[in-house]
Amino acid sequence: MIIRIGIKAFIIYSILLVFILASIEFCKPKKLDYYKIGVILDLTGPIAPYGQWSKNGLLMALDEINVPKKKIELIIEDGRSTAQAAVSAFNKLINIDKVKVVLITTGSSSVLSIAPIANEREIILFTPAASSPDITTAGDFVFRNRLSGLQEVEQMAMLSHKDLDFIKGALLVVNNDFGQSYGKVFKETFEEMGGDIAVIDHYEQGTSDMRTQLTKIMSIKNLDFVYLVGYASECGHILRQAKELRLGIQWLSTIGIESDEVIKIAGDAADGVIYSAPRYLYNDPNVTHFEKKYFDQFQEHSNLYAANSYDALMILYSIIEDVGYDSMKIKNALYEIKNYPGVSGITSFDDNGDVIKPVMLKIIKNGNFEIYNPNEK
Amino acid sequence: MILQLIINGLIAGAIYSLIALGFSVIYGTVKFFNFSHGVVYTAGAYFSYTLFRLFHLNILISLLLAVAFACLLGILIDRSIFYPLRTKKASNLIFLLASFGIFIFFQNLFSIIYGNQVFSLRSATIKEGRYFFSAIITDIQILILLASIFLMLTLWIFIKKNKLGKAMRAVASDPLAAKLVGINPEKTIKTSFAIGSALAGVAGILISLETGIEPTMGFLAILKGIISCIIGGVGSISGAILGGFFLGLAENIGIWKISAGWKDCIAFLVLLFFLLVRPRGIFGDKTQKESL
Repeated sequence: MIIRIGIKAFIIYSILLVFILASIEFCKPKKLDYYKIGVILDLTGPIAPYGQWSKNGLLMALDEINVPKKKIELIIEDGRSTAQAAVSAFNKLINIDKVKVVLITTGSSSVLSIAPIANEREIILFTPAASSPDITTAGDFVFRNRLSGLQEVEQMAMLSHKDLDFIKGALLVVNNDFGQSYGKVFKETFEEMGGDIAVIDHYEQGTSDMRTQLTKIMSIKNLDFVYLVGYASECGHILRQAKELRLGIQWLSTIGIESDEVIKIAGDAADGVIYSAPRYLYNDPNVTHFEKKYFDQFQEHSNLYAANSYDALMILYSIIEDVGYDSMKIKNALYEIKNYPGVSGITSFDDNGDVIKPVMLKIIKNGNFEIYNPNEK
Repeated sequence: MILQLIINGLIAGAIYSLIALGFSVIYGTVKFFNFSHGVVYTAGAYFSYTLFRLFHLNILISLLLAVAFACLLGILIDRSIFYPLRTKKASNLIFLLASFGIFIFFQNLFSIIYGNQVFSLRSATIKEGRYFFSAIITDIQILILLASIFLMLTLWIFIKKNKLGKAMRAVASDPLAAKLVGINPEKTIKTSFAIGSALAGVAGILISLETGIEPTMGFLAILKGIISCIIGGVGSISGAILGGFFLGLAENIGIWKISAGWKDCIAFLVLLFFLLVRPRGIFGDKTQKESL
């Protein structure tokens, strides 16, 4: 009779046993002598390079913090460059891992999707990378130490109108929060100065055929420039196809264009693009120590995202050590931070949890990304 | 501008037609929507990249071998997955799901093997296009148009005149009757997979010369191919060609007055229109009841 009950019963009992053991394990109150911080990084998809640089910066900070013993554990999840995956990752981190602080290097759309949940559940959401101006008003628990895209866009609008004397422009933006918010701010700022934006067109993330958008832009008379907002791969295709279509125009862009992939896809069609970026130079004497350590560990030059992430973890750790692992106390302490000497620059958080930092202008010359000075012709 | 939009439409249409053609040829003999066709398209592109950039073979040899490999991949997929399902008399839904599963599997496989960044078969110098009246067309785009037209004509003649082509039309029309007159349906199906997959491989290679290679390139491509088939009439060879060009032109001219970002949206609106108003497509057969 036992044999007849057999396989089915065995499986059922095994599952029950596993379930019981697992419940016992999860219910045991764990006493940890280190703090857990959740991390969401886009490690796959178009934002992947930024996710990786951010991870490098975090790991460097972690190495310095966890000496002589472990004080912080990072639980890293992949945001996969989509808002849905980022929200799932966030829910997993706060419900299963029970973290109260989440660092996030993903696209702005992902951050903005998570922000309402973070505010409701009182979880610190700190981004070293997302740029959308909409993040400024995303809530009390949302912080970032990357300057808001608003500053970069205003700088770009001023450059085109005041220094380059441009009157008429077109906008070509990627269809997400990053593209749409940058486009909107540029249009408002440029038109306020007396300029004219003839057309705003958008393209979907992941497309590679932009000939239709470019064809429409080509038909506009007396166009001075096109402001291009997007990530490396699509921008590369756009610049290449623009050259093939003999569209000779000044391209203005954002830091999204600063990638080897753009040069790979667009080749010499990328030369001459002027773009704005948060100021960070790896050969700046203030960051020599950080740069050297980064280069030794990762065999490439440090950049803004690594530096911001490094600073972010260092700031959070010092606050947690000071006030304990309480999200309300951490939040209040963050707002108090003024003139923190970070490798990414002097950092002070304003009432919105944003920072003000300098912007620099760069230009692509012969496949290299160089500093651009509008006064030198 | 309208001439440029027409030219853009014809180039896009040429690619859609090639995909739709291969899809239709296969559909004609197996009568289900083979989603894995999209991944044979991607495979053609990756094979050519591997041979040209990684093994440093001559570009022409790489492209020809890549088409051959795509052809073999299609046949392999049929023999290993669809043939066993045929012997078990599986329903069309099962075939559809299986083909979708194959698509997802290979798409992820390419992602794991090659990574997610965009690969290119071209060198870094970008050549400006040539003038055609007031419009611009590049050499590669001319190649795409000529290659597509050549392949479509060749296939059309093959299907109409050649014995094997006639056998394919017979199996498509009535598999049992075809068997009764001595046609081997399995051999015919294998031929249709070979031809269809080779066409998909060519389309993938042509597109990779134009825009580049990435693991997800097959998804939108196969959707556009299916839409083209539905417009032209599922199972009809001339329908696939017409549907492809119709779709390419509709997308590109459709955005003349509205934002160009709506291009893909137009494709689906066209699909909805045809499904509601003329589900059998332009050249579709009134008598045949199509089910997925």
